Parts: sequence; C-alpha cells; structure tokens
Amino acid sequence: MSQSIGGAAITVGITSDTLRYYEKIGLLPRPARNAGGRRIYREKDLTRLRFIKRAQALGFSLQDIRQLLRLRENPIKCSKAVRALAQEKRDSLLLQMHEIENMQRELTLLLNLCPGVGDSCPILDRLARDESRPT
Amino acid sequence: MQIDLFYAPYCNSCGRVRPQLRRLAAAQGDRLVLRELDVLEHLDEAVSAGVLRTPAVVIDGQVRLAGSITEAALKGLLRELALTGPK
Repeated sequence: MSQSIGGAAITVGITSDTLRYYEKIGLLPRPARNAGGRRIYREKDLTRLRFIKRAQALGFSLQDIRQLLRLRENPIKCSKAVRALAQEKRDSLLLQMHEIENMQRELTLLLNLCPGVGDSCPILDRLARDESRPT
Repeated sequence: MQIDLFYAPYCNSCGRVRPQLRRLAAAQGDRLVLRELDVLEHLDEAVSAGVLRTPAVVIDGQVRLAGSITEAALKGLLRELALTGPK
C-alpha cells in the first residue's frame, strides 16, 4: 500500500519537511510519483524511514546513518569500513543495553525498598549520598 | 565460603533475618564468612548480583534467598552448603 507524503510522515512520526530533507541529502531515494506528480511512499520507503528515525533516536549521526543504509541495501557487498562502523555501533548498543538493564534493576530495587509512605525514602537517601560524595 | 546478606536499615524482616543468619553462620565455624551489607552502601554490588528486594542472601554472586526469608529456609540453605562443601 502506498501513501502520500503527509500519510507517510504521520505513519513514521516525522514531518513532511524532514522527509523532503532526507530525500534532498540522499538518505531516501527519490520516491515514485503518482499521475498527478505527487510523491508516493511504499512500504520499503517506510521501513527505511523507520530505520533512519530509530538510528537518530539512538544518537547516530546522519553521516553514520548514510553508511549504515549502504549495509542495509546490500549486506553482501558492503565495504570493510561500513562493516566496521556497523560493528562499532552494534557494540555500543550492547553496552547501552547493559547500562539500561542495570539502571532498570537498580530502580526496581529502590522502588521495592521505598514504601511510598513516611519520611524515609531510599531513593532520596541514595541521591543525597551521591551528591554529598566528593567528586 | 562467603555469604553476603544485603539488608536495609528500615526493612522489618531484615531486622529478624540478620541475627538468625548470624547465629546459624557462627555455628558453622570458620567454614562460613558472613558479610552484612547495607544495600544502599553497596548498591552496585547488589544490582550486579541481581538483588531486587531485601533481605537478600547472595552466595558466589547469585541471589539464593530474598524477601520473606524464613529461618527454615536459612537452615535449608546452610544444610545444602554444608553438603556441597566449600568452594
């Protein structure tokens, strides 16, 4: 199913201007046009846009995303440099996931300790201790 | 063998479990070393071991008992450790 630029923007959660910008800088190939000359976006375009959006949310630069899209387009023929970049980004994500998991466990522990009533709250205690610790 | 007990000062069942485990560990003599750790003072260590509630008994970096720990459960764990022997 194809969508207009407005529909695609809503589906992916970006603005139409951003979509045109991606096209202008070559992150997105020129989409097909309908009989009236308006851009139409197919599922393949939308999955590419979602990839770009996800990568941006994770802090990847547009230049990195451009490289990673090459790997995505043709994994078999990707260069060593692109492969190395993808590995570096993958490893960085694994580290972030580990950090997120630890933070989630720490907050779960603190929430289990925090009765939600009274004056003593371990979350505040912990924060106060960290703040009073010399840096 | 080392046993770590993570506790919080205002955790009621911690106040009950601490002396129980202290007594049971002392009965094992030198075979057992008990460390009593304030969970907020040793938060990274607790999180790394997977402690999600207190009290928590951790052996070799793994939570063996946590939450509502009965004396029978403590005895059962120490019996199991005595059978498996020191590592």
